[in-house]
Amino acid sequence: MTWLLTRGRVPFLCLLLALTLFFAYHAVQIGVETNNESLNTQEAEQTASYDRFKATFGSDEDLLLAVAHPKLLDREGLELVDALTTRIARIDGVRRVFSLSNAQQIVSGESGAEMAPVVALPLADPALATRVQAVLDRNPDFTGIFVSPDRRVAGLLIEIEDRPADERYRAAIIEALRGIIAESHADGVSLHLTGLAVQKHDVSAFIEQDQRLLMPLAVVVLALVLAVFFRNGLGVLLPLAVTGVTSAWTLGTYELAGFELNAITGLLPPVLMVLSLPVSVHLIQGWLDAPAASTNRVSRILGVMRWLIFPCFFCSLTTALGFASLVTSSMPAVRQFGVFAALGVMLSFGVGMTLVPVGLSFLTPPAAALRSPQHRLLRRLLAASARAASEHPWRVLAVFSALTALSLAGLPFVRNNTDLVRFLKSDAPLYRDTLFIDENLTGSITLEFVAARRDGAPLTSLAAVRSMAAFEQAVLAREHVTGVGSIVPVLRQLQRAESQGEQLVLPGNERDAAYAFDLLEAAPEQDLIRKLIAPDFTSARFNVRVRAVGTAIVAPLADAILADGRRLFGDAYVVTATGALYQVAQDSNRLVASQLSSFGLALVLVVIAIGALFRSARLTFIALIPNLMPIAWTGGLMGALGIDLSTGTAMIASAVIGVIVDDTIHYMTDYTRVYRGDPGEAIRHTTTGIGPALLLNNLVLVLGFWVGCFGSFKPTIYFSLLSGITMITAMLCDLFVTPACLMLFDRRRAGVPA
Amino acid sequence: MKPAHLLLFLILAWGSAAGAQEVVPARLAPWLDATADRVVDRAYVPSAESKVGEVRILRRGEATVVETLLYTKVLSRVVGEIRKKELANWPGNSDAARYIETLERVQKQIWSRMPTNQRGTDRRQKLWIDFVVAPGVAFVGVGAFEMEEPRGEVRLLRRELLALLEPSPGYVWRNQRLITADAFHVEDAAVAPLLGPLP
Repeated sequence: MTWLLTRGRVPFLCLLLALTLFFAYHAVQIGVETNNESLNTQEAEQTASYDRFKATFGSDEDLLLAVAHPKLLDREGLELVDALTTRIARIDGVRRVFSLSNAQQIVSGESGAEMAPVVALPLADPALATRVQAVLDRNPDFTGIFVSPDRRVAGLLIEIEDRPADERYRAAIIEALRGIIAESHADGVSLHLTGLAVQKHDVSAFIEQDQRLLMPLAVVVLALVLAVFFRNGLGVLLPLAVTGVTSAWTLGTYELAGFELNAITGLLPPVLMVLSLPVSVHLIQGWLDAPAASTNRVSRILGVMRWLIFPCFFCSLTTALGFASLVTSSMPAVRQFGVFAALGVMLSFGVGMTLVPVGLSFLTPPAAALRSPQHRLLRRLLAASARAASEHPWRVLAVFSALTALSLAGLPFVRNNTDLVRFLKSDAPLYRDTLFIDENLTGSITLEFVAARRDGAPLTSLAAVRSMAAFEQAVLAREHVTGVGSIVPVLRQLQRAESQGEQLVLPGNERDAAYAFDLLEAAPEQDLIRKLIAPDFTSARFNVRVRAVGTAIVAPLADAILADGRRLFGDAYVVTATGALYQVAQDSNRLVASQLSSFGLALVLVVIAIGALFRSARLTFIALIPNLMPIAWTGGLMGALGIDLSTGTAMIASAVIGVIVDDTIHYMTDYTRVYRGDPGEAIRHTTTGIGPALLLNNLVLVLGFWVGCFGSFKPTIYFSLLSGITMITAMLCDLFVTPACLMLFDRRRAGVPA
Repeated sequence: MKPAHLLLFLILAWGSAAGAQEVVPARLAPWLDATADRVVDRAYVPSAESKVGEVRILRRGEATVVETLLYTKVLSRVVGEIRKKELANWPGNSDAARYIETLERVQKQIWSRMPTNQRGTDRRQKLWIDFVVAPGVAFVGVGAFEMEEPRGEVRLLRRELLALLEPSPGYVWRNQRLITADAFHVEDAAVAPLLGPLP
């Protein structure tokens, strides 16, 4: 180490710079995921089921454009719908557009059922609105998708092509549609766009936007905090250099591993910057606080390193283990976040323990330990906390335990809920548009169900048709369901046309049922039929449109619909749920189990690390108390404030336990170092001695995490906010509960120097 | 069985048989025997990719036959399309009206024979129409058939005559040309080489 701090300094810095440039080059190449794939679990059966669904019925990424017009059914409104339909159909990547202007109804013709346009020409007909209204009244299935119940909003269903190799076409379509929306601003006319593809596009765009904002903001915030605290350039530049090197290496590795940023790993850059600071802050603070006698540059640095290397290593290790425990998550994005945050923490330890000493070796040590007026104020507060903990430990524990009990009572109110719409801020265009469509047209999210016979036979029998119709009606009766798209309404329309009747009824006998499917087979509009039933009629799709609600409602709804399916179809059939929303609901269902397993793993790893450091079961137990309390408080706070357990908030406990335990480790390490038989005196010495450094570390961590609050996604905003709050409460616990526990449980060691 | 019941049974049985099997005059019988047919050309309708049937130009001895074989699950639709074309080509023509009425009747007859149990059966309804122009005769035969499809090519196994019409020779001859032009997608002038000289 002495070589590194003397002759090895320049070669070391050159090597570090070269490596950093290499990784930085790769870090800036990181792409942004355009399809949200890493936010879905890779559960094999679920993925296979969804793939089968897409292979049979096509992509479920249809877009829905709502057109609000005060005179929608008049010539003016229908011409606008027709012009939009034609224009959008010409956009590259759009396969088809279905709307009122090209929708077909099934009517009785000379030789049975035949297709006829909903909006028959001429548009100049004064009775146009009446005619269209009559058609819509006769075909209630059009209401919801193509037109709102009040006939003021039209829906354009935009089917886009599936181009797996093309990452840009989806964005180009959305941008073209947004361009059309921006142009349409006549009085009373408004356009609103929603759909899975829009969500994917907007999430990508928000990630890029967040990257442009969060990293510079994190740098500014950290630099300000460091400048205020250290009040010299060294205290700012060295930690920021460690942060820069760590971020470049970690993000470069992330890119080299072939990953792209997603809604979760978009938080990595600011989180890495924050997590890579503590080692350098402790080293610099230790160097500044070193006794005045140790003025020799190298020996002063080596002394500080000898004192800090073990606590810093174990702190980094526990932090890394906390994040690494996220590897048990079933969601790739969470796993990537955990693994690379852990890697970054360990890298920051290595970089901090080398770059900071090398940097300090260029400087002349201060003649006396630096003390600022703020430090004096802080020390007074810290002395008061030490006094309270050492003189009234039972009272302290009673107050904190009562708060914990209160928080635990709030835990049951934490709802497991992922809301694909409300995870964006309320001013996001997708949020506004989706809720508009949800309110005026139809449910904006969809669950997909597929029914098939176990023996693989076609669903063309009368019994199968009746079962499908019963299932459709049962689903429609469910709360939150706004409509069901399936082959059943088509069969009803066909039968009405074939029988030349007026009522929408199903085929009444076996022969009619079979003939209806014969007609479907021979129909010219095969693309539309193939979206509802397999080409060989062996499986039928039920596209269940649901109001924009979260998985707390969607998951039990899907289960209830599946139960309906099993009951109504019977044992000869298999009914499965699938689709993008169902995947999210299933992932959400797994969140609690996933969170418990990763938190359990994090806790075990942290306990092992603390046990290895202190080699004392008693001290390990004491270290756990002040770290479990703040996590319970955060859980209670979530319950009280109605913050849902989602992808982001589920990570808090596992990620934060490794971070907050660091202060306890530092505190207890210092306590055992200064312990001379009087726990009260050791507590006062420890709290006022390392308290300022712990507070600074916490301030940096909290403000750094809170930078994430300026992001675009609520789960990550809540992750940042609640992680910061947990760190603040953990700091309080470390200043009150840790010393109180040491007073109470370490008292029997009185008279035995550590 | 009582005599009255026996009589009723015989009447019904005779009626049913008469409805199912057309009585063929002896002078037309040779021109309905398809055993030695020679296929001159054929075209799938509406296309080879989504065929509901085919039109064949046949030599049956000295007769020229334009034969339409329909094999489709939606025979009523196809018959409906034929009806539209007939009405367009022969407005107010009594031969055409009789032809349409006969086609619709035979289509319903074939439909009524379809098994109600849909599973595991070929649900295609099979109907043949022959426009025959032979020396001294011109007529139209309509019936049902059974077939096999080795390598995707339709081969008739059994033909059953269900209706026989003797419209004016001009109607038969002209319809042969119209059907050929429509099925083979050729102009009227190009039809003659396909059909050959009049018998």
